[in-house]
Formats: sequence, structure tokens, C-alpha cells
Amino acid sequence: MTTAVTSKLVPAILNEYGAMTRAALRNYLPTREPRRHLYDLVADYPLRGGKMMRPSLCIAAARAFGAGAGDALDTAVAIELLHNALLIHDDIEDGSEQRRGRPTLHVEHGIPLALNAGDTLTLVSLRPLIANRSRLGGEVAMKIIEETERMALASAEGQALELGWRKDNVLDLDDADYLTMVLKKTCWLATIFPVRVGALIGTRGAADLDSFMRFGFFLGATFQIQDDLLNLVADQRYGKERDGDLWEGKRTLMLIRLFRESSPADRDRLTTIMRVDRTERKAEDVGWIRAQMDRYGCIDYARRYAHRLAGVALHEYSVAFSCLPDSRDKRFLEEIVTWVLERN
Amino acid sequence: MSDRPRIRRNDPDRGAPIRDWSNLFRSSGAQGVSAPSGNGVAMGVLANELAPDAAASGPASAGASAPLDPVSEEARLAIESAYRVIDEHLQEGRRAAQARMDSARATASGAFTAATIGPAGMGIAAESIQEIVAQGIRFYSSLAPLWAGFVNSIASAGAPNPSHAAGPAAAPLAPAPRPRNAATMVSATITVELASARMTRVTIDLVPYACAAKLATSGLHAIEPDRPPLQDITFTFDVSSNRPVVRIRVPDHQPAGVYSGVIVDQDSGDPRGAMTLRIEP
Repeated sequence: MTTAVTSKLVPAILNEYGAMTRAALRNYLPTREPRRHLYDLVADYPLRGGKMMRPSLCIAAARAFGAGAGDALDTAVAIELLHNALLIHDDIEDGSEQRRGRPTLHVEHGIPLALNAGDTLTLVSLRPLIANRSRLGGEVAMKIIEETERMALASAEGQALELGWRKDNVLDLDDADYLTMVLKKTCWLATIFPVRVGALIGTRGAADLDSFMRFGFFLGATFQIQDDLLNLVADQRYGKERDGDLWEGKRTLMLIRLFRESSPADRDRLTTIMRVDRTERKAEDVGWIRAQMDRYGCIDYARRYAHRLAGVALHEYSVAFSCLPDSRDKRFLEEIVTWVLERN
Repeated sequence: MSDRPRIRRNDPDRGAPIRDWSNLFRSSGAQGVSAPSGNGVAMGVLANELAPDAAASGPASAGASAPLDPVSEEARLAIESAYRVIDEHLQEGRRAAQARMDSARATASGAFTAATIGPAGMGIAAESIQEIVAQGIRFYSSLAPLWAGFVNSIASAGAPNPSHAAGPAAAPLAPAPRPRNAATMVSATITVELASARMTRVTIDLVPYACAAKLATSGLHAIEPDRPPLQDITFTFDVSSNRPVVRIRVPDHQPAGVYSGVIVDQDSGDPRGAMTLRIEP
């Protein structure tokens, strides 16, 4: 069976739940002084926009299980706030220059103020989780906080893995290493956690969460590989620096494949280029890596890999959600798998 | 009839269908790889090619069949690798959860020991014992649905499992796979508050996840048309226990008999279960 899958439902729901989350999120952003050096910065990333995939997944999962959107809204807000807090820190750690089409926070305001804003945003994200208690009850609210703790630790571990590889200039990695890093660094916050807590809310804490873990992992890994591909091939709409991952020395599936497939001489050159900091890396070296990726078929390899994981994500979707009656939200959770491959 | 000589073809190499289970999910050539096109992705083909059961059975069965082409081999390795990563992560999570439970048990056990030693600890002892009793009550009340599920699973154990009869790979003595459908794992729990002057038995059957909905019923009716329905039934949600509560009041003059009705989702009107009351004379 071959299906044309350009989804209209996914953008519609992302708009709808995204707007809902953004409106609720404003209530949690402090507007008092000191604004210039703190709260204006805290509000910067959350108000820049974004796809709102994470909060939408949470609301959709909760609704698919029979809860109201309002039941999941505070959790969705917490997810989006924490995501933005981590982005501030990631941008500093990665030396990124652009975020959502504008200079990153630390480029605009300097590292000390950006770091402080990121810390504050992490704390701000706790408030909606505490607010869950009045609507969902103490038990479910506590479970969500425990899930949040697990997700936050996994994200930090994933980030540490990748930063460690860069610090020690580790290139001899395999695909499983990459997937382990992505599972922790990306999937937990981007997909696993939103779907799991959505299901927790929808079932009042009764759901078995392992199936959602698998679905979230395969969806999140597809999302990350596609994101890494877009970094190399996307146009201006992408909102991040073109080839930024190569400048930053990120260990993507394409880079790992390139090292594995390269001749010994090319491998030596790649190792030498990756050894230096971003500031010392030359444009011609980045261009050489990019050309080598084409030469060794790394882009096509990663694209095939993403499509395969998307296929498995669809399978895991059918395992995790087959018990539910058809609904708009359930269809969204299915169609988002192909949407992550088609987005630009 | 034509005078032309009749064309005869050689007998085909294959005279019967190839029934090789190891090839069941395998695509021929690059058909299933399906690089992205401008109009979308052949996800149906992908999902079939990449069914994880096939990937999981790959290494064991590959030896008996023809070697895989490089693209299929690449797909198999990719998916095996991905499943290994997530399954190891799940195992880690289970071990961490078990360690946390063990630690909580050790703490409770320590509290009990403190409560039983010496007069100096008596003040603490009284509080600890109260806490232990409260914990015990919470523990056993939370076990009740598990027991119900356990009894149900024992009762249904004699029924054949269709998934075991599906293919030749299902060994009769193999341990049953862990059910992965979330709905089968969950029992709906509801608190019943009954006010009745007579012995009354209440039975409630709810679909999985029914407790997440706002429940309602239009009343319970007897099969005999002359008996008035039971109308004083209200559903609420108790935040402290995190479960729905149904309050039923049986009037003193209500005739004895069996009354039943449908429980529905108040918002959508969809049925979520059934309730039966048997009022003894």
C-alpha cells in the first residue's frame, strides 16, 4: 500500500494547540522588574514562536485518552518552558549563532545574562507542574513531576554524551552510539515525555507507559535525523545556521557514517579538522566535510535511516494506541510521524 | 488452424509457491527503501518492510535463506540497532524503578524496627505505627484492582491465545509474550457509596480508561415495567483519591429486584459501561 501523506491535520493541530499553549504560557512569564536584564530575556525564546510540537503531542495524547485539553494545558506549558530553557543552555554549549531566525540569546546579551535567564526559565517551568495538583489531583501531579525529573536527567546525560565526544574528539562511533545519545538528548523531551505525560493525564495515572516510550523514541529519532539533514540542505525557512552542525562539530549520523566509510587519509583529515574549536575551524574545511558527505553517500544513508525509523514508529503507534477509538487527536499522533519527514 | 509451428516454453524452475517464513516481511530489492519524493513517502511499504518482528527474527532466519541484498541488510541492522538501544533503556528504567521500590520498602521496614525498640522511641513509635497502618491500607487498597485483574487472567488462562496459533515460529512451551496493548493493562476503579436500608449488591463494569471521562447514567431500570426506575444516582470525581465516586440512594419503598442501566460519557454520550443493582427483599 502506498499512501500520499502530506498531512493537513498536523499543521492545523500544531496551530491550534500551539496557540492555546502560548496563550497559557504568557500567564507564567513574570512581567515585573528586573526586566531589562532578566525577565525580558526569559520571555524571549518562548515568544519567538516555534513549531510547538512538544506541547501539542502532550495535549493530543491526553485528549486521545479522553481528557479535556484543559487538563493537559499546564503540563504542555511546562514542557514548552523547559524546552526553551534548555535551548538557551544548548546554544551556549554548542556555540550556536541563530535560533528561530534570529541571533541566539547569548549572542545578543552575552553568556552570563543568557545563562541566568536559562536558569530562571527552568524554575519558571516548575510552576505549571505545581498548578497541576488542583486540577489533576496530588497523585497524578506527583507522577508528572517524577516523569519530569527522569526526562530532565536523561536530557542532561544525552547532552553530556555529545559534549564529551566533542571534547575528546571521539569520531569512531557507531549508529547505536548515536541513537543512544539521541534517545536521551532529544527523544525524552521532544516526544517520549510529552506522549507519556499526556497518556498519564488521559488515564488518570493508569496507563502502562512502556509502549509510549518506544513510539516516542522512534518518532523522536526520526525527528532528530531529519533535523540534522535539514541543517545541511535546508533553505532560509529552517531558521538555524546552514551547516551549523558541521561548524559546531556535532556528532550526527552523517558525520559518524562519513568517518566509518572514509579512506584512512580522509579519516585523518577529518580527525584533524574536528580537533579544533569552532572559532578556529575554516570555511574551506567545513566545505570539504560537506562535499565528502555527498561523495560517500552519507546524506542518502541518513535519509533512508530516518524513513526506516519512521516505519517502525508507525508500527509502535499501532501498538500503543490501538486500544483507543478513532479521533482527531489519535490521527494527529499517527500523521505526525510522516510530517516530521516532510517538514522544512 | 494455422500452419505455424506451435510455440512451446520451457517448464518454469519453480512449480509451487515459495513458503519461506523468513522472507515474509522482506522486500525485493530497493522497493521498500523509498527515498523521499516531493509528493510524500511510501509509508505503507516502509511499515511492512520494517516490521520489527521481522527485524528481530532476521539474524536467526537469515542463515537458512539467500543472502540479503545490501539495502535490506542495512535496513535490518538499522532497526535491530534501534530496538536494542530502546530495549536496553527500558531495562535500565525498570531496574531503577525496582531499586526505588526496594529502598522505599527498606525505609518502611526501618521505621517499623524503630517503633518496636525501647521506651525512648515510644513517641516516634506511635506516629510510625500510624503511618505504617495508613501505608498498609493504601497498599492493600491499591492492590485490590491488581487482584481483580489477576483473578480474571487466571480465569481466562484456559482460553487459547490466537497469537500463539498464528505461525510456525510459535513454540508451544515458549513463555507468553508480555501484553503490550495499553488497554489490556488497565482496570477502571470506582468508589461506590451506597445508601440502602436493605441488602443490595452493586455490579459495575467499565471499559478501560472510563474513569478519565465525566460519567453519568439516566437511571437504572427493572425488566418489569411497573417498577419505578432508580434515579438517585450521581457521579462525582474525588480529587484526593483520584478516582470517580458513584453515590446511589435506594428509597425505602423501592420494590426488590434487579435494576440495570448504561453508564455514559457525559460529554459525548458514548457508553462507558453498565451498572446493575440487586435489591434483596
